[in-house]
Amino acid sequence: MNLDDFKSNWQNQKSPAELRTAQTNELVEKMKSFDQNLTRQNWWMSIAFAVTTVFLTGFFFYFKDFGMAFYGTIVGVIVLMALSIWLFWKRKILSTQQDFSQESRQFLEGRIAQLEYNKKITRIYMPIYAIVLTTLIMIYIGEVGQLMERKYQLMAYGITLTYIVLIMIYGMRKQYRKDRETIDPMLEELQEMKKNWGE
Amino acid sequence: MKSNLEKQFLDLVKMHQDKIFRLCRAYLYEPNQAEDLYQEVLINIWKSLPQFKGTSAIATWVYRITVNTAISFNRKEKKNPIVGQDIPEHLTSDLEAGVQAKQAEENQMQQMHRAIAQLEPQDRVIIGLYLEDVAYKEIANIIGASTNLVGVKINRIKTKLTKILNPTI
Repeated sequence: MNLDDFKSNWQNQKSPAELRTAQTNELVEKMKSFDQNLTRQNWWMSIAFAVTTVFLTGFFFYFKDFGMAFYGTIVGVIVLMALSIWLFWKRKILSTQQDFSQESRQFLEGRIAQLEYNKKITRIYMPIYAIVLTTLIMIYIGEVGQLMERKYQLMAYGITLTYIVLIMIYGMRKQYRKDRETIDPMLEELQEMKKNWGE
Repeated sequence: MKSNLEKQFLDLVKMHQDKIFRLCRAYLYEPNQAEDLYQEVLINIWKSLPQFKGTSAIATWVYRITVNTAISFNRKEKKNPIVGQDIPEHLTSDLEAGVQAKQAEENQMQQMHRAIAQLEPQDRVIIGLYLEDVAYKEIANIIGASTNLVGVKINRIKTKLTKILNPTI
């Protein structure tokens, strides 16, 4: 089969009729709602963050009889949450601000950087986040637990620590698996593509 | 009432839909996966349209969006299932038997899709553009490589395709 002769046959292929009918207002509306959904998602996340912050700030001002460690842990958790939200937004912004009309090699570089950033969040940020959050909560329980009997204090430590560790291990393993199954093969493919086009 | 942007978008899609779809089909063998990719390309065209400055030809701009959407398309469980498989015997034998022209043409097309599916993703992009009759210089401009490299790649891809299509040669 001669490829040059085959070109006209190739170009005779039409897009399926059901896709062609898609160029209606309905499609445009669908695309508009796609943008709106993204904004809505971000808004919900911000509202959840704001409510939690208000709640924690209330704690900060309501309880007067605790030591510095108590207030320090509340501030620490708020800072940690703000940092997480910022990282999440940055990831979201990076993915939504991709310029699809740039040269593909340039696009590939951006896409690779973005995927590597996502991996860095899983590999570096998540473990640090887990350790800092656990430490802050332990200090917090230590402060609040002073009012309890030793037995209940130990129970509070044990239950909280087990819960956090299990959740963290589950969450991180899930994320690692997701990275291994989706990000790693994609990264490999994109790097291969970049190398191939830059020979 | 449709806005100018909507009208522009619809005209653009009308003008380029077949090219976009063929490029999606060259990149992904399965027609339903190619359809998903096609829809994603349209979404990205819609999102990018307000930023179109006219510094490149509209076709180049559309091709770039198509190629970039394809290479970032989430292929989770969407790997080309055809890669590594041989071309079924009946397709070649049908051709040899001289069945009706239309059928032969369809088989030939099917054969070509199967052969393209066995190429590396980066080669599928290049051959998709080549089959659209896009000039080497423009292909280079779309993917961001040199024209020489595109020429070399196309020759290599042609050789690979010939080997896949005619394993006895």
